[in-house]
Amino acid sequence: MTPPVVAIDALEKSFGDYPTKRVLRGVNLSIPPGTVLGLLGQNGSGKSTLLKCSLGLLRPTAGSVTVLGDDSWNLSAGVKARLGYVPQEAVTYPWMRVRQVIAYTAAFYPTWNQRLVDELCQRWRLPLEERVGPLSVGQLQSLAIVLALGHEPELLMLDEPVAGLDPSARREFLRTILEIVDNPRRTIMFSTHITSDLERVANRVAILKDGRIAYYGELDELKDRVKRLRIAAAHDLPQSFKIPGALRCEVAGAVATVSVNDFDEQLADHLRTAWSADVTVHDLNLEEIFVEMHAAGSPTLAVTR
Amino acid sequence: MTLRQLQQVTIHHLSRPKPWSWLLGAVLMLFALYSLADWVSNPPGTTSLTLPTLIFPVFALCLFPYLQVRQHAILWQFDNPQAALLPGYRTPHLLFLLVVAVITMAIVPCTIAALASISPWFLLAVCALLGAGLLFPSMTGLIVPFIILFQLDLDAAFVKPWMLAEGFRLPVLVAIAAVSWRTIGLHAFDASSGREEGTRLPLAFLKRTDWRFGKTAEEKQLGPASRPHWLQLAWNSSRLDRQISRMRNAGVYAKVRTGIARTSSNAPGGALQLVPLLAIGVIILWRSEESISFDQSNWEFMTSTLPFLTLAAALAPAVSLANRIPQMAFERLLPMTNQTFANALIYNALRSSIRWWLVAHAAALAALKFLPWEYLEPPSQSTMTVYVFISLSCLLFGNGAALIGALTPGFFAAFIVGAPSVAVCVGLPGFWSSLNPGQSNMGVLIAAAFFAAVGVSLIALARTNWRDREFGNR
Repeated sequence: MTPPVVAIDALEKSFGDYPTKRVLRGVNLSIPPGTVLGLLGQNGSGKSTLLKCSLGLLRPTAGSVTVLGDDSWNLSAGVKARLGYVPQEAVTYPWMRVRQVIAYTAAFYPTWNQRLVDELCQRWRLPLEERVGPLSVGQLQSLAIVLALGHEPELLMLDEPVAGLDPSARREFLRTILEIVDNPRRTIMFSTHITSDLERVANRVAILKDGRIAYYGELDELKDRVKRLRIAAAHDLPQSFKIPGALRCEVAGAVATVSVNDFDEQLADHLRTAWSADVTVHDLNLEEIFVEMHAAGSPTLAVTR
Repeated sequence: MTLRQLQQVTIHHLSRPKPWSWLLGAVLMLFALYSLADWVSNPPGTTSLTLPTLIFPVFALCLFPYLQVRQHAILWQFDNPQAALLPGYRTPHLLFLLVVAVITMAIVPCTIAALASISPWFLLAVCALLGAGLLFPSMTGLIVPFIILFQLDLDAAFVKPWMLAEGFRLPVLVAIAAVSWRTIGLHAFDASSGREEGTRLPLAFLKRTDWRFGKTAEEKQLGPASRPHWLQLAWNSSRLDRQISRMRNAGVYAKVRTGIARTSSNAPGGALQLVPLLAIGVIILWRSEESISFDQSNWEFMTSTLPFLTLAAALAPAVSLANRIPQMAFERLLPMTNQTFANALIYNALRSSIRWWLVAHAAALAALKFLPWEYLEPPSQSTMTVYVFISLSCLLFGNGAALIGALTPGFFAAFIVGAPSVAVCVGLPGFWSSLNPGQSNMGVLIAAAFFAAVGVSLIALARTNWRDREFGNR
């Protein structure tokens, strides 16, 4: 069995001594090679902290993270050479020219692919002779992505990488990611709020909620499980109408709209029989699923894969 | 580590123009200042390589590796995860820093020691001690080395055996150098680890927002944190934040102006940090009682120590204002005119300055009580009056220069533009004292009045510039 690229075991991370803020509360994840994992969560749910702990930028308060076989807090140079990271806010050396920053970074990586870098710079129209300081946020982010991809890392971690990009740059970036995904040995973890992007490239999703993993599994499986049911009964439904484990339930007269997190056809058949109702099943896109999962009072998904 | 890495790291460091221009500027300024002092204190026609002229350029040079370590550790390493994740980042960077440190804190001092026929261990130990002290940016850590250097000049009888490393002094100097170099090395090693957490040295200051591009992960999670810094003590930002927030919540927008103006300073807290500094001054002065004429020694103390207090008082609020610029983009949108806002800023800066000046001088005068007064002649009323006049004119001049300097980008802009005030604050009283301590004060009073007038004009200009400053651009 292939060992996981990233193995996160009961990871906890707290900040401050008193009062302590617990950001991650026992996160478990095992990411096999070739996975493109989309990390979703509300603001402050701990996505960036999870990525930083995985990269050894922050020290876990409890639990452990293993990255490519190394403890994340003590990554060897060999493992670092196989990692790429694009932070939420790209920071690089403003007094240097773009060309100089690339040459400087390239010197540290034995597997640097200058041809790929040249191509990406051309594609994203990065001004090689300009200093980094006056670059726009989008250009800076593009440069950070180029620097992270230049050594063709086995594991690429991206923390909201497209937040500062314009729509065309975002499209180019997604195209690049899709090209990278072609390599089955390459693993990508990326957090984003743009669920449509995630749907295009991710094959797995992890949803963080209150510092815990609320769902981790195949994206298609999530879509198969979470459905919206429209129940049109012959008579008015009681206000107390509900389905156990439903994410959300709205009743208006004889019609109820219910989002369920563990849909199967038996449930629909049961509702048809029990309430003499016409039950229609609607697919939800990832954004709708995310919203339903974070609706007030919604339970955590029953199964974490 | 490969040669290519070393080459790229060297280009990386050398392509930064700022530290090199600072280095050059500092050396030139200090050479000019102390050449003047040397010229004043030695008869024309004689050649003398006095201690300050030796040490200050060396000191400026040894600042450079410190700045390199700090800038790279805090700004470019901790705030740049890509750097933290570069495989083999540490070795070439440490090697570069080591080379710079050896040149500036070993080769240069040894060369100067050879030229001046003093023990190289003396300058090696002093430079290493200063370099290590500056790694801990507290009031004491920063000012004490300056004071020691100034006071060394006073206490020639005490210092001379140390300069020649006579007897037991040699092993002491070697030990000081060894401990200091070890501290510098540990700091460099920890600082290049790329970790915000788990370092061996007390590097809490590395997490401070005012020395970073952004907040640390901890600060982001725990909300706005205060940004303690000795130069910021005169302007308590968090207190001002709370006051504005309270007023905003209460809907009393019109009172925000008063809120900014009324925010009190934390000068007493800052003055407390001056105590060790003053204690050192007093001890050294005590030691020097046999080497200098007693009737001048208290005046020497005032002219060599107190101007630093004036300087701190002049620069502190301006630096605090510079730190506050990001918040001002929001504050200036509060319902008041830009002029009112600028008035409040400048008024509060001046008020903080004067408070700082008063408290620091009260502390200094209290320290003077411990002098051996039976040997000393207390300063006359006219001397004190002249000192106060000079000091306040320097305060105004320094304030104006620093308030304008704080408008330019960069944290140290206030210092760079405020450099003339350094020369004035430090040079003018000493220059005057050296020339004619017992003669007519009219010349120096006219000069002080001129500086005060220039200072007031600079403050008025600063007020206009702060009013018209653009906010919101990067």
